Amino acid sequence: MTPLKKGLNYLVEYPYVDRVYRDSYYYYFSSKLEKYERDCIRVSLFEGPITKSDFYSTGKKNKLNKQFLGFVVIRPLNKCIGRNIINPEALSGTKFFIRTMESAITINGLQFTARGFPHSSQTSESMTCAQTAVWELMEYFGHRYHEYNTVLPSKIRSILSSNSYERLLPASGLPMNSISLLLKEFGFGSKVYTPKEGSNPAKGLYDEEFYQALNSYIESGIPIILGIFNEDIGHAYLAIGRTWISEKELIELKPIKSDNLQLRDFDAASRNLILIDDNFTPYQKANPKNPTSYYTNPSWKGCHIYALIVPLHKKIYLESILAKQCFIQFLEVYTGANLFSLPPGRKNYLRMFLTSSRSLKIGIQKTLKHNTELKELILKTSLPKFVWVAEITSDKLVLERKCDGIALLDATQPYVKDFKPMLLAAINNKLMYSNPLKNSTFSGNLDIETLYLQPFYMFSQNLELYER
Amino acid sequence: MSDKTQNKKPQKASDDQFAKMLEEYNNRIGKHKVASEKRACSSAAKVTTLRLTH
Repeated sequence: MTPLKKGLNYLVEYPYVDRVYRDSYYYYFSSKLEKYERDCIRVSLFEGPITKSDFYSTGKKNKLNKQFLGFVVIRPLNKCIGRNIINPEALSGTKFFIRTMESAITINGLQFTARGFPHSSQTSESMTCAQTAVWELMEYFGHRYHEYNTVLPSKIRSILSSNSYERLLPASGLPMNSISLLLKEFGFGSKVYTPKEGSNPAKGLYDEEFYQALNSYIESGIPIILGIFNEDIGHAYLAIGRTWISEKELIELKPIKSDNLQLRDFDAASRNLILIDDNFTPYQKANPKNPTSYYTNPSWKGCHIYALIVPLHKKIYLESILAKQCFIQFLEVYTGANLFSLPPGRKNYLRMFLTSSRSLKIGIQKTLKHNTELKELILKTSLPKFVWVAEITSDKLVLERKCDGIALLDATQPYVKDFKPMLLAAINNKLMYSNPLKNSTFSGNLDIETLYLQPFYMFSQNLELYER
Repeated sequence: MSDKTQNKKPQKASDDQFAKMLEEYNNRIGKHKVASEKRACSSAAKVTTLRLTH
């Protein structure tokens, strides 16, 4: 378990009205004979000393905001940890890349910004792991993007009620297809992945493509709902990031199977996921092939991931496995035809991820400073709303978090025949791009120009590094 | 083998050769797509029936 660092101070507020607990209280707990309190306690975390008087004037607001590291709502239930947003900077011993959101809260009329990933423990009665994971996911997306809204537990139930053959209270969990249905209703183009037939993690037979799809979405900064199970357990939680991938892991990677390519896939490197699990404090770590390693209860041993639900934007049509196949096959065909080759005499690595064209262009303004020709070409090109980005790097460059090759694929193009998604590739001093004016595409009539590229920093807008 | 032969650059594929390679790619990727769709169906039962309650 990741401990809170020393030297934190806590501000306790009571009574505190928590919208999420009140929703469960009015729809469920208040209808029971057993008495439940309506009010909660809110505990706010501050780094360094604070005094009561600091909160009675606006003079200390900026200082307090810098000290503020999130909050936890304490519910009047046995499972007392309610809605919370803990800034990873409040933890000790962290080194991970995650996605976070910001939420404004007020204490005594002073406004503070909580930064982190939303989390709550399950009540087990009104919300189980499945509903909690959906609530956490929507809390994140609703705060971060204007296209989505946060939801309350009663809203989750009302959507499910028309598709459910039995009662929804007390909560008795949800199957993965119901979770996916909820995400569709909340505006996502959700995509479900399961391991291929014949894989058997209990016997060490893993579907590597399945785990690589998981890693590529994490690299894309998309929080994913994972379905975990063994003979006794069925559980859902969120994966929101990854730990640092060691040099050793990268060096030991085996090349992908190919006749004419020597290429290693970054997604195949072993890493721990950063998890939001409603049975534990936020930001747990576990390897995807042993996803419950931090549980001490023996009944959780041998759990494995049996499904992923990826909350894709509804305009992302090209999914991870096909996008990567399309790019790798492009490299194979063009290398086979002697039109192009990967940089020789070194270990080449591929990192692929999704991003919006807006984020890509923001990133490129910073990273392609010394490659003006390519920078201008990408900036002036009309790109789809989302792109798959393929970065090519070497064993030496990757240690400096740099690459020297890039390709863009249209994430709104699900038809991969004739390399249709390929938009641009600038690799090994060669530039190729489809140009509708010249009727040139990656399936033919393509001009290959010479373009010398300086190594540049890898794209880093998708995940934020927290290091303590 | 003479030095001249060793230094010779590999020849680029002709349009016909490239078209053939592209066709082979299209067949491969088509099969891959079918396989991944089949894969999604194979575990559909578990996704529908297994309740996540813990």
